[in-house]
Amino acid sequence: MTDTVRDHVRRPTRVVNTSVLRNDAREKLLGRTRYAGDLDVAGQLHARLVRSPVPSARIVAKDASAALAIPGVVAVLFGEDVPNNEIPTNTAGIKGRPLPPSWVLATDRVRYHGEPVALVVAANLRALAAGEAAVEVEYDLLPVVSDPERALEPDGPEVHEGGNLLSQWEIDRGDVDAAFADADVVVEGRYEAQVVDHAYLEPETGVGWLDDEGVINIRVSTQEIEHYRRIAHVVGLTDSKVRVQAPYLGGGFGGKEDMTVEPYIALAVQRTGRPVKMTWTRQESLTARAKRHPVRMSYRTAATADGRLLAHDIEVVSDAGAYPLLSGFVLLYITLNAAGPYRCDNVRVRSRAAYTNNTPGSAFRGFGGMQPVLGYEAQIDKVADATGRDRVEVRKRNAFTAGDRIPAGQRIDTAVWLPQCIDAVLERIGPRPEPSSPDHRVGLGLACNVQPYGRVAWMNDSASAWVGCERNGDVVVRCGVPDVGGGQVSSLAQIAAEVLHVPMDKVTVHFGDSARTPLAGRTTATRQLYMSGNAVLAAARVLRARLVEGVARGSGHAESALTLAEGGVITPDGVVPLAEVVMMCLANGVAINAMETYFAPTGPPVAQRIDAERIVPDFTFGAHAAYVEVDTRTGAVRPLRYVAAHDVGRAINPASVRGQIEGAVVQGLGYALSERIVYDEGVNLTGAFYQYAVPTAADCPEIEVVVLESGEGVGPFNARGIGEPPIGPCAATIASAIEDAVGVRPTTLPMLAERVRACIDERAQS
Amino acid sequence: MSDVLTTMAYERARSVPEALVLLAEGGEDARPISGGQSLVPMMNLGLAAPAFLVDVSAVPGLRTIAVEGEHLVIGAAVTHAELTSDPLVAEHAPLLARAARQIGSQRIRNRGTIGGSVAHGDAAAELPVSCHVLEADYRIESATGTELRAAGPFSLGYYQTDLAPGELVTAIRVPLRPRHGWGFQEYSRRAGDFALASAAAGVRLEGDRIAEVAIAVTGAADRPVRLGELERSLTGQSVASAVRSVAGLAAELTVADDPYCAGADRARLIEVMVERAVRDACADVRKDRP
Repeated sequence: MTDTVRDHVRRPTRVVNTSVLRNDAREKLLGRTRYAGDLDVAGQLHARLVRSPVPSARIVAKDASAALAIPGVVAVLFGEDVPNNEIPTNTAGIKGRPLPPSWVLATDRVRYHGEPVALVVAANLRALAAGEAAVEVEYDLLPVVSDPERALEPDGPEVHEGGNLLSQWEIDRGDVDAAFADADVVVEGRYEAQVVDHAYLEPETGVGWLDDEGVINIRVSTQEIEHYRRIAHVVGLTDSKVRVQAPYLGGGFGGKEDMTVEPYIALAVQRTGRPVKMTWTRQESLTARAKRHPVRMSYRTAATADGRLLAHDIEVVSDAGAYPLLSGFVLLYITLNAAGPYRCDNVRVRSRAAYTNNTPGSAFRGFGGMQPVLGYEAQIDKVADATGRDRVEVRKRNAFTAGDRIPAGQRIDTAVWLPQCIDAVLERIGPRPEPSSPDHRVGLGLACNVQPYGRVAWMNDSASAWVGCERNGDVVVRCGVPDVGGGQVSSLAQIAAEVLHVPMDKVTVHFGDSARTPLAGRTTATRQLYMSGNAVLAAARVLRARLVEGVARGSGHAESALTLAEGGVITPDGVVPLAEVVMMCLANGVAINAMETYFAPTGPPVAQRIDAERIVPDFTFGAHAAYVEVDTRTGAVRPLRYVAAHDVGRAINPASVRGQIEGAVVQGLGYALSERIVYDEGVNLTGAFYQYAVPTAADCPEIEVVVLESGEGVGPFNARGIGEPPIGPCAATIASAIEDAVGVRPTTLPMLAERVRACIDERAQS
Repeated sequence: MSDVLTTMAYERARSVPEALVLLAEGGEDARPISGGQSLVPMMNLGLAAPAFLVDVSAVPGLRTIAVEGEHLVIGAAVTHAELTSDPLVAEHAPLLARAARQIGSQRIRNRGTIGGSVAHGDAAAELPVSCHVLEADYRIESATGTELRAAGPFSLGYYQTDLAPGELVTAIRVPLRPRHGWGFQEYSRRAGDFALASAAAGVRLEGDRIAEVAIAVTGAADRPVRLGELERSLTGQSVASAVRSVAGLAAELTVADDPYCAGADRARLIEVMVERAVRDACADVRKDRP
């Protein structure tokens, strides 16, 4: 594996590794990109969900007759009307215990506030709103459990039959107890992270219609067009009778990894035979769509007197909310990443995810690699402080290097540039700013992280891509990627342009269509450039060889005498332009296209006690530094300057990489300082966007991005994934900076003013 | 147009009398609109559904700022952005300029108006609390006449003001008090959010002693609150001891919890904002004034 990685290290490139203008930039800047919600289909109906107003209840009666009497209301569906109302769960649970499904529409029991109960279809939005209000559902309230630790107690109210333990993982590496017995220092800490929402610009939306072949088409904002199989299951059709198209997304961040509007649109199209549009309001999105898991983590860490990590003993409880969704996998990632980017030979992790009556947790950028950074970075600082060592030195001393094994067993095959990332951010962060008043203090924070990219090995992940030439020599890529805004499509164009020696504007990418582009898997897990990029790279290389072969056959020159370069194929007789190359290929029976599939490394599913050679494809490492100013009177924290460095192996488009990192830092600052969903006994109180404090431009500091390129990674041209990794270190960076400023470190997110002030007060009293 | 959820009538008034006639005709169903920075979001959230909007933003008489006798008179349709940059406001009511700078974002300040803010009565808004401290009054006109109402009692509770259907706030009158200094401080979770706590203060000094002081806060109740007891206790104190004397205010306040901020935490924030507003107001007193 390492050999292939180094195959094309530092080979010069023309298009790849340059900040070319992305092929989606112009249309987006001009406001012309047609997102999923921008398309109306003639004659379309509108659909809306009736959602549970309570977090836990038995449904005792349902009546649609009043709604159906409203002029313009076309149909009302309950769970009993859905051909296959059960959505099978695809997550890792507990061996021998079947996981409960989730439901398209709840039939006799609701388990969280906002759970869909009925689907209303109407001719216009006014009738739709009236119809939604007129559907009568009678609830018999049941006990609510909203605290995961309470849920795990023997007498905790059951969310699902069989108990509230959804998933648990363990790591037992080395001899933890012996290491603690021998340790010079032991440090402890408890950390707690909150529920947050993806808060993308574009809420869940799509429109569907029946085509002439009887296929239900759905054009939808989704990270996964391959939900067409699940959608077909719901409506009782064979897989190929559902087609999903994903136009450019206005953000996903994991929130569009599970299905959102798709099954409802399909049901409404099937029921009415007419086009149907469904758009969730921001309130629906905030109230009921899956969120990031809140966690409680307790750490005990042992080290030698010179700051070498000896052991971690870690316990995690995650609140999975009301249905499994991807919670088992998120908990797996929390477990895998619990000890961070540091070598540690003795690690015990015990992690559990519990059902509650809160909004279900599922995928969110960082996917369990995110939450533990708050814990392991605080612990490494404590080790440094307890041993009287410098925090930077302790990080560098313990950082993984290539060849080390993570606590879960997998060997790291590629370079670990953690020290380089640390040096870069500390060099670029600059001099400490002066506080703005005697009430203010300024502090410097540093945090590092590791985040896997690519899916887990037993998903047997693959991505396919088709690359071909037009008669005029233009290049066409067909690849079934959803583009969530990260530049996934443009990067594929860059790779094809690089290999086939054509300018970017000669490459057209058809993407995100489950019927008409080769399937390339979901845009999640920081896998899309890695997987589909490798597929396009392979297909473009095969095509390049074919083009040369065509010219060889047509001209009689040996293939070794021919080179594809800018302008066409160079032969001893001169340059054959691409348009002529294409004709020579066709005249000589050589295909002018190629389709290739890239397969990720595979391995067996991990056991509940994780110890495996192959779990994920590879890892991305980074370091962040920030200055913050703390108002010691109010506790308010203002980031002043921020620097983020990640080793991306090789940047396909450095400007896109910077954009990913900068955006992740902003999202991470929201996680650190202001964003949270507030519940009252399972009732989600944060239903309005103004209540959900996404940082505004005015709240954000100057952010500097340092893109480091080790030349090692398993993506195309040795790229590493960068979509998720840069959100990880933000909260720990800010916590560390607050500690530097005022001498006390908040351990609960978000670090609201009053919480920071309470920390300062406690310290003053002690 | 089947997608439109609600329909409404809209008229753009060209003069105050025309606006008053339209409002009188519309009765309970009519609402004046100017910048629309409060009413339109409420309509979007389904919290307001007026059948008839009377747009007063283009009425020339509502957009002037002038000194009239002992008052600075600010037309109700003057925008927040204009408050921040107008030389007469800077000279005679600098508190309003400072408070207006804290409102929302530049986009909101460009459209939102002072009359709209005081008539809307958001308990956390910057201008009503400032008007309370300035002891301003509001000129209220209707088809039946004109009257002045004091800023303080005009606020009746969350989004409740002493304004009946058919009535229009046409001007805000601020008494001229050239020997005062002014301070405004607020804390919000994010730039542009409504403040969790804010304080407006005005002082007149005699030497180093506080001769007069006015303080009002938001965040403590369902409307701006004057802190009369604190004002009395600070009067006569030196600046330094007055600023110190604000400590302990939090313990005197009873602030209700809400899901996003505990009452006790909000009281602490109010205390700090008051202390800083008083400090700023004292520093603001211009010694060179007559």
